[in-house]
Amino acid sequence: MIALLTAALAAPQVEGEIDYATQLRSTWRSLPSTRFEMRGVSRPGKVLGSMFAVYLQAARYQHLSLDVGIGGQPGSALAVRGVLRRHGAVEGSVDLWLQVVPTLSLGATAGTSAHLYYQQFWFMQANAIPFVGGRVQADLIRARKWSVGLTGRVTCDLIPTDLYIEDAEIVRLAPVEVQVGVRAQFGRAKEGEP
Amino acid sequence: MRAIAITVLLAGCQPAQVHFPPDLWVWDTGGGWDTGLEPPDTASPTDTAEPPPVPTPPAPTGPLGSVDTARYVCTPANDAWLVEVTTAGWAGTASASVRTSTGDLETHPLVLIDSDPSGGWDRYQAGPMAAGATAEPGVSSAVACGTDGLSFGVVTRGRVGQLVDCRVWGADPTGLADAMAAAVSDLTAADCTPL
Repeated sequence: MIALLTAALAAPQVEGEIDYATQLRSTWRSLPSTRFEMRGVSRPGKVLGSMFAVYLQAARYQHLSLDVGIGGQPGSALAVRGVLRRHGAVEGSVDLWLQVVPTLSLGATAGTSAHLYYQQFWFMQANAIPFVGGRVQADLIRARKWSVGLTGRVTCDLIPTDLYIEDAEIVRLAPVEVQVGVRAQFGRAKEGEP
Repeated sequence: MRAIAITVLLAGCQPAQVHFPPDLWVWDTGGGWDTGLEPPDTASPTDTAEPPPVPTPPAPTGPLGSVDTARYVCTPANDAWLVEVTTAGWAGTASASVRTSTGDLETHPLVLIDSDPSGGWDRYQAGPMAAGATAEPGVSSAVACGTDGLSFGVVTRGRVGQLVDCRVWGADPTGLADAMAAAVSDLTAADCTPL
């Protein structure tokens, strides 16, 4: 009798847990694939910096995928005369990827970057600069629902920037920027897709 | 889409400008720790002295980076040529040329040796360069000390390579200007003025 009562009370709980787990799994599967990246930034005339970015997979078709993302790089010092002057950025970009082999993808990127300039501790100016470039990424560890790998990016600013140092010297900011780092990708393709 | 592309192309013709002013942390130059973006409100016994003056660049007489003073001399004791140039405001690069009466032209790059932190001037120098030796830019000159009929010239450029100033002097400044213009693509004889 006690055993029957216990089973009767327990049954709805088990059913509820299964429903919750199923719902959670379904929710998790409906999230788009998400990629986090941390890259070192190299631009001539500027001290090495770092950049953090997050991307969401907006579309996918067989070996092609389209990601949209945002990123930011803290200001790092510009190699100009005088007091400390720094350059950072906040950007939004779109990446188009082609999966060459399962562990290697090549891509193109385009976006707009808000270049942020600081002098000593003060923010000085922001300029919106569009850019285009190329991307590459390779998986180091690859599981069914996540992967970790290396990533790289080379971009070129479409608008040159001249730095007027105390109105006595003009230095043109190098338009090409190279970034290399690591990335972690979570999530998977939608049901029925490769 | 086409409008966006045209806008980007047009914007690409005009570089974005970022202006950095002189040092903003001026009150820290008095020594000691001071957060002071503001001048001290009350003068303590140790603060009775006036704060040090903020360096201000002297007003240049010409375009920034133009030649202010220049000399191209040979010191017989060392048997070597020495070129010294001072610019009004900061320049990017500078070079000096010498031409003999027979038409031989030498050009030597100048090295930045001193600069006003506040942007008032730059000092460039070449040499001492061995005189009467095989000509090697910045190292030695084929022109011997005491040679007559020499003409001298100096060219300064900005940080992005644009021509700022050209000055000539000596026995035949016009001939030197013509020779320099023939040797440098973006320089014309009319760009060079007597020092």
